[in-house]
Amino acid sequence: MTKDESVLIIGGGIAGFQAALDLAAAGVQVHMVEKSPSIGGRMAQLDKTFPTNDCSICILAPKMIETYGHKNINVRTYAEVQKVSGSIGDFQVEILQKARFVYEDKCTGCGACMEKCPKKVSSEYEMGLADRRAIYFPFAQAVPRVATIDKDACIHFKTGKCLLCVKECQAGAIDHKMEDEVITVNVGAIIVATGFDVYLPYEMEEYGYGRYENVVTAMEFERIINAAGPTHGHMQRLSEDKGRPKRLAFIQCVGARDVRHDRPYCSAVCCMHSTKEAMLAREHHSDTDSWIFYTDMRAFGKGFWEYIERGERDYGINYIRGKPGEIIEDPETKDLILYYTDRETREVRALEVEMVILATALIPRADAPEVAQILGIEMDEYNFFKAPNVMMSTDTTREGVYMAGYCQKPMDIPDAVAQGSATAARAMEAMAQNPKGGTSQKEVTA
Amino acid sequence: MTTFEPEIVALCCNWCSYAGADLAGVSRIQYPPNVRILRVMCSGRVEVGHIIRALEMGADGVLVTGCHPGDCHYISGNEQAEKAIAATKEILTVLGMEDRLSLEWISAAEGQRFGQVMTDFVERIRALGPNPMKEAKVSRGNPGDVPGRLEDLVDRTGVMYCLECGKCEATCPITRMEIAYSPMLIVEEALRDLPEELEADKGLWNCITCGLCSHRCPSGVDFLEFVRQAREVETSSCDRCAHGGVFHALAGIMANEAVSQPGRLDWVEDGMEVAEKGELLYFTGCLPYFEPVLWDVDVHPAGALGSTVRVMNHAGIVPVVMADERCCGHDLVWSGQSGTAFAELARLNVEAIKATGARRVVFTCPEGLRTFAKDYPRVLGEDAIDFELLHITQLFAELIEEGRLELPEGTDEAVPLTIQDPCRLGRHMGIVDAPRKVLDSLPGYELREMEHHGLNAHCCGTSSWLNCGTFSKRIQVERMTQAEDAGADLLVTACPKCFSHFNCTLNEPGSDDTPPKPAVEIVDISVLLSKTLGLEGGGDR
Repeated sequence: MTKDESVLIIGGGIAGFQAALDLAAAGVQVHMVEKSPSIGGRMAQLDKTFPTNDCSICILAPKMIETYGHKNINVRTYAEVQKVSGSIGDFQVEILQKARFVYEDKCTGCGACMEKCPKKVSSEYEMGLADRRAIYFPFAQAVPRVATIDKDACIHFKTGKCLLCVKECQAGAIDHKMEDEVITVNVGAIIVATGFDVYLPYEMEEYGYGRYENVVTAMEFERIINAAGPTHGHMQRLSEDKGRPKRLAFIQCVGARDVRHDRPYCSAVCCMHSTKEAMLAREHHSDTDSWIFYTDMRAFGKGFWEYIERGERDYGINYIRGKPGEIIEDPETKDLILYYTDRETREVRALEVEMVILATALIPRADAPEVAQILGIEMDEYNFFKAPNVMMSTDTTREGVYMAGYCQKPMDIPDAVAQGSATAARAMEAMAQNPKGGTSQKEVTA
Repeated sequence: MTTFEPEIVALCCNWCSYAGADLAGVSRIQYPPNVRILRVMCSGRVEVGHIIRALEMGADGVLVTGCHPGDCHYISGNEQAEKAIAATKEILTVLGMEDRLSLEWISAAEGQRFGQVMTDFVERIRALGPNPMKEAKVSRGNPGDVPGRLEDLVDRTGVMYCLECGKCEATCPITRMEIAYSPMLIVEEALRDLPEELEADKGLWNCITCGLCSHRCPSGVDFLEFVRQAREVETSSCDRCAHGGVFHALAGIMANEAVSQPGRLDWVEDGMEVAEKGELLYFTGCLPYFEPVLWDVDVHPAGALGSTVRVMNHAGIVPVVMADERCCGHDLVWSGQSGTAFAELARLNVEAIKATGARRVVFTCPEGLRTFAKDYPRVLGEDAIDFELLHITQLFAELIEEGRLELPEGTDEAVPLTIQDPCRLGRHMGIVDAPRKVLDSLPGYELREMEHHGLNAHCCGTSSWLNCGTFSKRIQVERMTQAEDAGADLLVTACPKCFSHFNCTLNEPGSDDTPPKPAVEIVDISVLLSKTLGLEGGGDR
């Protein structure tokens, strides 16, 4: 292996970081392409991680900084891969660098622009529970800490006026005339680590998501209990009263393990994250009671079952086998009534709670088919990327293209990290055996 | 020279005519031996269903005898009998069998009269000739040739994929009231291959086949199909049939080609334009039979027939209506009584429709629509239905969209109404938009949805004329209360059965401590549309 070999990593989440850092440590040049304005991925949105209840961003942020700052890693945020040609050892990759209308090298990350920006839009990072401005950092710990202008929202692009941000920026970093660029890089291997989306169960009318304000997804609840979240860590209902919910119900397998919605697979993390969220709720306020309605308790990992037991014993979580049939909202109080069967007496019972958290299916990203097409790799019937066989679980169906994390199949953070390392090894192996590729490091700007 | 000896069933009141028969006996009064006497405690006990079932089973005549007016031992039983027999005569008029039924008053002292009445009735029936049902080639009941083994059923309906998550139980409107019943437990009994348990489980018959559990089941278990087939596997009887099983018996009668229905089109009034051949056929279903069967609950759903034709005529459509239309067989399918009768009903109906040249068949009753769409292909072959099937609301929505109905101007005050999605139309057939399109376009009304609507709607409490009991009544009251809670004055139905079941509960006399009934008026969607178009003459809305 020569020093100037390089690898492309698509997706700046925890799986991608691990792969990038492993490769970089071995002296391989890495090009990381991240679609959104900041690296971090889903893990950056989580409050804590199971089964240790570590602060998620606290263990992630050092990885983000390390990745961004590593001399062997070239991180491109707000960029997308748009074309791949060549073969193992010698891929030519066209990267679309979207214009963020802010010069990365000039922006100091002071945030003055976004204080003045008059245009508010719903924040993707906060799962729509808070607003951001048209010029924004996706979240406080964003890396790089460079502002980005959302062209679709920015007033200037609609009216030609405003430019308040430009007036405010003392670094002179904002340029509304910036244009998209296409960059071509030459790499020996590609690692795809694009992660997942959260299923929003609007179509499952029986649970009232979208209709009842106090029915939220687990990812939304993750933001609600997060100290940096939209409620500043105050556990609050979304209804007008903004009351503190004292009784929480968690419903598992919403839209997952569900053939009616074409998702018979298990999302693999929900039994654990619901338990975690119920624990955190009790830690926020000791008078919080939680009920977790599960299909089967799938606590299969190391220390997982002990975690469930701890939830029951130390946090008073009520685990109830069985799914509620439906939820009805009390229109006056905005409380929610769940109907479920008591397995002992076989009676249908009604449980009144103040908030319901749905452990909805985690699904392949909406643009997975597009990515698969660009990379020339196959997907399975659910749009997860496909491995050629069980013995090559981090390989895709194209030689020299590897995958890590949730884009392949449901898995938790440690597994995604392990796959990150595995793909780094596979990529180095590929380049060692196909040395002709990856010789050119030079970027060509089109 | 005829060898026909009539078989007569005489239902005799214990207190008068049964004693009259005794007197005739001890007095050695002669009368023909064709009569089989069944003692009842009162002529008022005789239901429409008893008579129709006797005729279905081949009786040539049915004679009901009771106490003279004013002499009833239960004060007014004979008055009830008079009404029931009048209603039964209406049904028999449609079937052309009205002369095979008679009601007579015979006291315990009238032995002579007893002999005379019997003799006269036997001679009258002898003159009429045999009941066409004597030659019946098909019958309802356990079909016998459908899967006899549960494993087959388990395979076919996907119940083996049950995760036992219990969502069905927590969804089922029956389980909510009767803990002994659970869709999941029934599935378990089948999975463990316990046919005896399954048969003994009354739960199989408690299901109202509303399909809400199937709709929500994450494992995609087709519980509806499971129940349908399991009922066919199990011993069939009409023990659970409502209204004395009269609708099921009527289906059994109509399944015989020899039976004609000379009075089937008696509902067609002067001024309505209908045809024998044409492009569009209006399948009326059991509606011409409904009102006499439901005489005792004072329910009047048959107005939908005339209203439908008036609206069609208004849009320039002259629908085909068939005098030889037969029961669609839906109630046999869902009560495990398909027998040989169901396939025959399917064949006769499809052949009759094809003979009219109709390309589109419109149903008022969603049960008929479902049966044609999903059950006929099962017995006749996938290609048997080569004409289009439509629910009446789909036709109305289409006519409104094409501007073929002249809807009047709206008024300032809108009457709030809501819609009951029939299970067969919504969850069975997936049609939920059409009725809303119709209601949205009606001036002077404002649609307010109930919490449970569309595919998530709650059932009207009973189906297939099975299992009408306290659970059904509670479900009906609950559903109408939901309509009230939605702020609706009118609960619009798109199914004559929903209409009948709701009205039945509203009409039920309560005692002093009965909570007040929900304050909603039930109205059929065709009647409502016809009224809005000003076609009902004197309609106030």
